[in-house]
Amino acid sequence: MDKIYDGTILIVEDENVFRMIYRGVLENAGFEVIEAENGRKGWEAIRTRKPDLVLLDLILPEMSGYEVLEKIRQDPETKEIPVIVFSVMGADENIQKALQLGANFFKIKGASSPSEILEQIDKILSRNQ
Amino acid sequence: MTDTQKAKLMLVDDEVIITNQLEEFLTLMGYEIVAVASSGVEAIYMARLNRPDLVLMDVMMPGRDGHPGLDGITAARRIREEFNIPSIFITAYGGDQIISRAKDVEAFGFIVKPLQEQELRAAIEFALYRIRMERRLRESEEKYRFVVSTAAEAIITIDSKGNIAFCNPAVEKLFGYETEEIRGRPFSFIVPERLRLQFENEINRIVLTGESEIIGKTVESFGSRKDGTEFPMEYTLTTWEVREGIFFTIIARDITERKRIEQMKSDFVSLVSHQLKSPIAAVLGCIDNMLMGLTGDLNGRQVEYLEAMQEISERNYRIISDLLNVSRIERGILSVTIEHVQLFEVIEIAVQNHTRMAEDKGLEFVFDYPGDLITVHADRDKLIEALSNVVHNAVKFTEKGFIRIQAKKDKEYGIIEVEDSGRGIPEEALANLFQKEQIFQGAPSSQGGCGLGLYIAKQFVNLMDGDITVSSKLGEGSLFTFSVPLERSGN
Repeated sequence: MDKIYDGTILIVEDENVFRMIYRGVLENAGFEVIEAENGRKGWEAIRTRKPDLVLLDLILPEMSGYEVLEKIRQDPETKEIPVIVFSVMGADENIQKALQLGANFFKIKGASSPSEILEQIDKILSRNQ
Repeated sequence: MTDTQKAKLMLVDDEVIITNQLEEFLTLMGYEIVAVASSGVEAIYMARLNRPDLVLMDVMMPGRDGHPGLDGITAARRIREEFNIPSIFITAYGGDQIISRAKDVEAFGFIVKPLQEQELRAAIEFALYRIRMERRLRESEEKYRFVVSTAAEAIITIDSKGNIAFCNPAVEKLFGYETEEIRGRPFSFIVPERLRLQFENEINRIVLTGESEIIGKTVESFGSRKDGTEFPMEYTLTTWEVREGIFFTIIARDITERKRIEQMKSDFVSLVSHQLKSPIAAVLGCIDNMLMGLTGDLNGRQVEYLEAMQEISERNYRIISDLLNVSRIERGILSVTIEHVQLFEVIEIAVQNHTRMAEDKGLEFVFDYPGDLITVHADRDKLIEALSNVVHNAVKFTEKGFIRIQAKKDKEYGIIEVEDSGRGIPEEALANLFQKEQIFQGAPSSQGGCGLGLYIAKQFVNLMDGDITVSSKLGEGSLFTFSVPLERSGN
């Protein structure tokens, strides 16, 4: 993707290597990237930094991705922030639950190239403008 | 006495002339006389001692030495009750009172003196026949009772009003009720309150229409114990009809343990596959970023190496996904999200993942779409995965030539055909091609995968009310046909 973006994206992910991969993809596309390695820190960063979009893993220490998602959607100050959930657990019920809780998109890790996430981010951000 | 052995008779009459005569007579007829008695008391004593099959009993016997003694009818009753030996009554006159008293004892026959040979023989043979039948019935009933009473499953019979007519001892273990305690009570008693109405309606429906989807099927539900606790229960309901109406038999078992193990297994599979998938996804992500140039320029050899790593990791990822899918299919927890889906888009995505593999083998992809869009009702992701599995096989098993993919409409279905010029499938393998078991029959594939792709594809497409069929000719190629319900106007 040749388009250059701006904006801040928060990656909430406990695995260092996935943070590295997605940071690479996002920074290459022009985004500023911030990271949180557990759910609690993720929620803190969302409240204090108000990122333009959150990339959220489901299985996280201290606070699960589902809980973080619920908090984002309940808080009037954060409820409009787009969230893309990304997980290796791509079972129907995981996807349905995440979407019901207000996720904008569900990406299954490993099922397609990480860089494909830019397409979804593009769709979501241009819709929100 | 078996059917071929001589029947053992006992004669009871106070007149010696008659017993002597009868003894001679009956011995000639082929019966064995094991005892002769001349009074009621003696008859009981001799019956205990000799255990005849049948007693010929004189009804009128005066007491001895001035005692009234036992008359024949009373003696016969005692013999029947104590030793389960029936009697034929012999009397000089068939007065009404005697006949009605004899009925109370359940006489096996009634002969009026003077005795006629034909009449005597008929009465004895009829009585012996009845004894044999009763014995057989009792034996088969005992066997049946033994099976029922020792069964680990609760066996419950319900009448057409929904009341419990019979239940076996296992009911006590399962539900905590004594068998006597619930006999006659409504069956809905032993299912949780929230399910009672539903169950009663089902029973009523069967009584009224004779129809139900659950007859003969094993159904998972819940049982309710006497102490109010619930447990997962599996039951099979069957019906049978007698003069009084429809009866139901329910065979139920407690499946708490099985459910617990299933849950553990499912949690375990989910945990393990997550743990296995995660590192592969990470490796794939790293490779992908490198191939995208995010880590700097790569030379040709490096790209080649990375692509090889990518291919192997993708294969591993797919195998784990397949195993996870099979586990989900088997536990029946797969669901579909039906939406409007363009066949064109599905084909594009499914093929995309295989173009490189096809190019490497020099295969040509041929597409054949009609001018207008074909919109089907399907689960988008599962249809893509199913088609992708079929295309993957087509590319894998075709060495040269083409893969042709055609989309069209046929009546109420959207059709995708995947045709290849590959090695084809032997006829004997075609029948089981979509079975999970086929992987044990074929030669192990050197090209990776665990052979579950077609099984999963078919299961997925069936879930969206579609189907996949196949035809193939060895050495010429195969044709896989997907049919998925077309979008109908209005829904």
